[in-house]
Amino acid sequence: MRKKIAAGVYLNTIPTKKFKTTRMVITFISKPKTTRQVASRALLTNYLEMSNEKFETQIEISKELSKMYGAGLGTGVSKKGNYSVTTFSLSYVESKYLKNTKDLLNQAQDFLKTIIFQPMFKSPLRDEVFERQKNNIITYLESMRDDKQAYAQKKLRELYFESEIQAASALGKLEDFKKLTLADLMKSHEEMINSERVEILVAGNIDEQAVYTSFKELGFKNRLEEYSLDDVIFSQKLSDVKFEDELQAGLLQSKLNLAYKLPVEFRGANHYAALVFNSLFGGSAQSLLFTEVREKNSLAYYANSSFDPFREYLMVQTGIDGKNKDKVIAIIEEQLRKIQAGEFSDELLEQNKMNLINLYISRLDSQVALIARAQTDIMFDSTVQANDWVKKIKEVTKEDIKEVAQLVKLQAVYYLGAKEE
Amino acid sequence: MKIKTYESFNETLYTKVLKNGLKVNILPKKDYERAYGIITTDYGSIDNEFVPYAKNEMQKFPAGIAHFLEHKLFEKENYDAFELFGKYGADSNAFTSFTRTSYLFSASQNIKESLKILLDFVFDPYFSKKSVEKEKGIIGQEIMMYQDEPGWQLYSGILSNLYPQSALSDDIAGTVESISKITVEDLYACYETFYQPQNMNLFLVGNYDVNTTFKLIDEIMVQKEFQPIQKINRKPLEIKPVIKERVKYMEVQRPKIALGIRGLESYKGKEGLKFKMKMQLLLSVLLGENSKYYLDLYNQNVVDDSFGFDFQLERGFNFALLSTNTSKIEDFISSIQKILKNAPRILTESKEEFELEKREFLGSIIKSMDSLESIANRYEGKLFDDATIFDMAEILEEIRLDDLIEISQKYFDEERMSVFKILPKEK
Repeated sequence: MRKKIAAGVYLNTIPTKKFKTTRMVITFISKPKTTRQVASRALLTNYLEMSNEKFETQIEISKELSKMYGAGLGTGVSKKGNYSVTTFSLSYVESKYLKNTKDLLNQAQDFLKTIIFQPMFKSPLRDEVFERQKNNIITYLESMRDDKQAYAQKKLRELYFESEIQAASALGKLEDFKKLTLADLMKSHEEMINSERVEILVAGNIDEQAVYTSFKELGFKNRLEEYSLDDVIFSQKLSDVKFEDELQAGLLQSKLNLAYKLPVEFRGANHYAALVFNSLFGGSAQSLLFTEVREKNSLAYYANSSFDPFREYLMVQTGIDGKNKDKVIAIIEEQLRKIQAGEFSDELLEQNKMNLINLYISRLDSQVALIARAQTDIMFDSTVQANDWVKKIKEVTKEDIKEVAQLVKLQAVYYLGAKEE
Repeated sequence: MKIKTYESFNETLYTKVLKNGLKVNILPKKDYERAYGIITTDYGSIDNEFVPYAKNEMQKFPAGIAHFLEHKLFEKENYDAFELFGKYGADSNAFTSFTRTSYLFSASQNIKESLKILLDFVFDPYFSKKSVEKEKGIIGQEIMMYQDEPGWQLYSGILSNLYPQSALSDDIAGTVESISKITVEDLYACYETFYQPQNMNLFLVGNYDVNTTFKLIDEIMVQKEFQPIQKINRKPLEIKPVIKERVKYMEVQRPKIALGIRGLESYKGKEGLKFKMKMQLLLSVLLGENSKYYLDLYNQNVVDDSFGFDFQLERGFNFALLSTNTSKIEDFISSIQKILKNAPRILTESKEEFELEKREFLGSIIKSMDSLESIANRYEGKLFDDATIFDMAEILEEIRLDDLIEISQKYFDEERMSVFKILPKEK
């Protein structure tokens, strides 16, 4: 059920008796213009999670969550194409599994309300908490360098995307965090609660009317205009292939990552073929990359591809022995060529379709996935029923895959290798 | 068939021991799309020295062989089980820990076929020289990948401090050198010893019909031949004095530190699970997010969000670990040691925190009942006397603050404490 709470503020309820928990998510959707805005928002969510007017320290917040039998609070920002989604979520156990406890719905709502609407901007502790959270996020981003796989992904993204916002991680850029002040956070908060599109999602064994009534009282104001979420998809023009090699001392396993542009309309004609293509190329254990690079040639521990349809971005990542770099590039390119030429068996195609269907159906057992799917539906103002989704995957033909594979264009190659010491 | 009903959680567990000794548990969840199945043998990376099946003397095997066997079991003379699952649209995987090896699948279609593939490939070993040699390249890359991961290095480092020169100080996957020695004969010897059905269990959870599934399992298993049961004789874990401190230099931005405490006795059965839960509660009361001691460390930048603690209890050993990234290493060590030393007093003053942590724990148990993986993977078979997560709520209710105080007086002995540091290489 979808209901309007105020102009630009909507409640989406998903009643289900499958789970022992209820999950409640409040999202704010915006289109950031600068990486500094992205960083401000990421730091703001950390700041709000730590303390507020009612719960001055993180212990008080933590204790309130423990009182609700370990309700899980999650905050964060994620990227969906051109848009940024700020999320506050809370999962709590249904009271019928707890002795002498009344329904936690109202307590959970009040808690989220406090987190979102009552920041500690007037408290004497406000600057201290700000500085600490700022430093923590900076050291976190710095330590990302230690995770070589994540580091290689970041470098490839920076090589591929010309847009600064797209090149940055969902959290933002390290340099921007260093410049942030409390005023940036206050501004970001003001925009969030007053003008951004709000989508609330609740899944669980719920009374939809009661949930609606209580969210209506939560205090969301009308947004100035009815937001529309057009141009979600980020699209970048084709360019020449860019290369970057980096050598680091002490590295044992080299990383070789490739980025391609794959422009297909979301839920449009080629969408399902693109999903099957990615599965066949490197997205599954039945993929050509997995079988050729890892299994047949024993060249890598991992070799896979992933596709972000919201940014038309197809990425291949591998962990290899540096001396095999050229050989691995050649094998990856050969797999793409084979798909473009239709040189793969019908059996392999069917397996990849079945694999995608299995994953899709399996996710119906996950409350988190149910909410994530509803969120995507909202962003694109369209709904796909599970049986339609399955039908469309089944209908994908070899010709469809060949067509999609020909749209795939190599744009960037990043290599992280070992420096001789 | 044994039927156990957990009324308060609206769940029922069906258990049967087959003629060949394999224990089968089924927890049906009819409204789920997915069916999940996991078969586990009581055999892991620390079981390197034992009397092989039909032999009389102890024999030592190369480090990493249990994990190697896990990889190789998927490959057959004329098919690959992993690919076969794929053909039926099912997902499959496997993992090896210190004391167990598990093989699993997840399917929302062709569930019966998937279950048959699982049982067929696990009970039909086929190892060849050619494929063993090829696997050395793949696992070699896996080992190298872990050597680049500071978090994993920290964990292995503190473990080899706590259990020096024992099988626990070896990486689960072994080393490039140790796995190079593995032969086809070694794999068969390990398989025949540890993959006897009475040393294993099968746990099925999700979209299953109980009666038809038991019937199907009988039909599949009756076709298989098993050797007579032989009791397994392993060399116990060697316990030497802990190494108090070691340092490793790596390419890291900030130092990483782990403080470990080796446990004394080994626990078994429901008491083992209860002890594990007590230790988890104890550490949470002392240093969890509701603790003012944690908040102080956080506010003084001695720890940050990377701080965490863990208690592990498996067959024959148990230990507690506390770790963080920090530039204030010495402050971290001295503060933690002080908190552990004063634990009995701190606990006495933490009645409110204790009750809150119990609530928190109960919530996390109930939440995990929505996860097929949690229900099945957290079942430890013999180790905890067949307890499941549905038993944990009842055990939790029995735990008193006094229990934690009593443990804290004995457990945190400096003699059994150790520190492992990973420091940035000097530029």
